[in-house]
Amino acid sequence: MASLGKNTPQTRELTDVVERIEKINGEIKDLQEDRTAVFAEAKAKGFSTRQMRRLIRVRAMKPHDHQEDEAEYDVYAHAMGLATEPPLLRYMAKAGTDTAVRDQVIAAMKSFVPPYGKGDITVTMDGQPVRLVRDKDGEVEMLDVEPPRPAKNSAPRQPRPKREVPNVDEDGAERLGVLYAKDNRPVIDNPFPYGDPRRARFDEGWRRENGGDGMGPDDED
Amino acid sequence: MGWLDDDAPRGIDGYGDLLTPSEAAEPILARPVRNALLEWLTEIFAEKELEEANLKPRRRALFSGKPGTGKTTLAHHLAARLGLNMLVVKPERIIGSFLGSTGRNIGKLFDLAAKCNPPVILFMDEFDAIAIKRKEANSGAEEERNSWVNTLLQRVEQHDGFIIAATNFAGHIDPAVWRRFDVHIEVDLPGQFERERILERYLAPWGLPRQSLKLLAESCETASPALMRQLAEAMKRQLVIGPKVRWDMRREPTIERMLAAIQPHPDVGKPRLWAHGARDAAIAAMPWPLPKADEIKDDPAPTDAPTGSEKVVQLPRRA
Repeated sequence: MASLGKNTPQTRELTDVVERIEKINGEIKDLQEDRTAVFAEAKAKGFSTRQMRRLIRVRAMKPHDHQEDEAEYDVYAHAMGLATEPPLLRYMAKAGTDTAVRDQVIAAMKSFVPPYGKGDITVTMDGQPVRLVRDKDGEVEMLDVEPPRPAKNSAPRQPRPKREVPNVDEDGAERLGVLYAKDNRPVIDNPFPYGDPRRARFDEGWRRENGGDGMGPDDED
Repeated sequence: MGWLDDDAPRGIDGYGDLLTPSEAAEPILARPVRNALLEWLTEIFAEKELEEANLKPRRRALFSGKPGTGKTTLAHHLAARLGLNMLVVKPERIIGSFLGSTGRNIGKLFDLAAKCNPPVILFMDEFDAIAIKRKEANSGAEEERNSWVNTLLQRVEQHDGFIIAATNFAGHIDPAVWRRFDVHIEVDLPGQFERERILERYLAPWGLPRQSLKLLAESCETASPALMRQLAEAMKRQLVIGPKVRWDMRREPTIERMLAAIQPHPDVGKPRLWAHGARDAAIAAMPWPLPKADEIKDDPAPTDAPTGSEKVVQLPRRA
C-alpha cells in the first residue's frame, strides 16, 4: 500500500470511511433504543418480553429448520426424561370418544391430503377408518374404509369339508362306498378325510361294487 | 418390485397352483398305468399294516411320458383319491436369477410343504427344468445349477410328504435324484379303447355312434389325450360358432377348418386323421350334423357298415 502520511489522498479516504462507520454506529444505537422502547411499550401492555423475543427468533428461521429444531429438541428432552405427552396426542386421544373433536381432526387432516393420484390419508378413530382422498378437482373426499379382508392366497387353502363326515364305523364306510358306486357317484366324492382308515374302506367298497378302479371306463372285452 | 421377486415372501401357493380334490377329473388311462397307480394307492391306504411290518408306503413317484399324455390329471386323481390338496409347482417360481436363490426357493418350498396340515402333495411338473443332470462345472452358472440339484436331492430325501414329479425328458433327470423316487410310472400314449373314451368324454353333449367313434379313434392313433381333447373341443366350437358367423357347415369343410387350426407336435408323429384330412375314412363314416349323445345312448352297433370301413383295415398301421 502507498505510504499513509498526513494530508495524503489516502488519509482523506480513511477519514471518510471512519466517519461513515461512526454515523452507522450512531444509527444502530438509536434503533436499539427504539427497539427497547417498543419492548417496554409491549411490556407495559402486559406482553411477555421473553416470549416475544422467542417468537421473533422462530419467525426469523426457515420453517423447515424450525421443525427440525423442534423435533431434535423433543428427542433430547425425551432422552432426558423431560418429555410429557405432546398436546397433539392428548387432543387425538380425546378425538377417540368426542365426535366433535374427531370431526375437527379430520377437517384439519384434509389440508395434508396429497394431490390427486399421489396418495391418501386414512384416519382411524373410534374404530371406523376414514379415507381422505383428493379428487381431480383438488377437492377432498371422505370415504369410509371397508374392513380389510383376509389377504387372498395368504394361507394354504385347506380342503373344505364338503359335507359332514358320516358317523359310521369302518364297515359302514365300506357299505357307503358301495352305495356311492350304485348311485354312479365318482370315487373321489369319498367323504372321509385323509388318514382316516374309513377313507380306504370306502374306496374298497366303491371299487368292489363298481368292478373298476375308478380310473376311467373299463375295457369291454 | 418385480425384480426382487426371488425374495418375495410367499405362502405355499405362491409356488404354484393349489388344486383341491373336488376339482379332479376322472382320468382315462391304459391298463398298466392304472395297475401301477392302484398298487401305490392301496399301499398308501395300508400304511398302518405296513408300519407293523416295519415298512413305510412309498411317497415319491416320477411320471414320465410324452407331452399331453395326462401326467397332471393322473397325479391330481391320486391326490383326490387320497383326499389331499395338490400343489402344482411352477418351475419359474423356483428358479431364480440370483446366485443361490434357486436353492433357497427349493428350501422354502419344502419347509412350507412340511408345515401343511393336512399334508399337501407336491407335484413338480417339468421336473427336468429343476433336477438337471449334474456335471463338472465350467462356469458359475453350472456351479449354481449343481448346487441347487444338491439342495433338491437333500430336501427330496428328507421330505416326509408325497412328491410326484413329471417330465417329458426322463433322460435329462439327474440319476441321483431319479434314484430318490421309488415309484416310476411311464405314462404312454392312449390305446384304441382309451382314445374312444377320451373322444366320447370331450365330445359330450354331442356323441358319435359306436362304429363311427371307433373309426375316428383309429384315425387318431399316436395322438395324445390333450390333442384329442383339442380336436373334440374344436369340433364343438365349430358347431356352436359356425352357424352364427355363417361358415360353410357341411362336414368336410368344417373338418378341414378344424384340422387346419390344430396340429400335433412334429416330433410325436402325425396321426392318420391329420395326414388324410377330411378325406379320411373316419370322416366319411361320421354322421352329420353330429348327433347329441343322448340320442345315440343305446345305439347298437350300426347294421349298415359305414362306407370306407374296409379301407381303414387295409391302411398301413403304425408300429
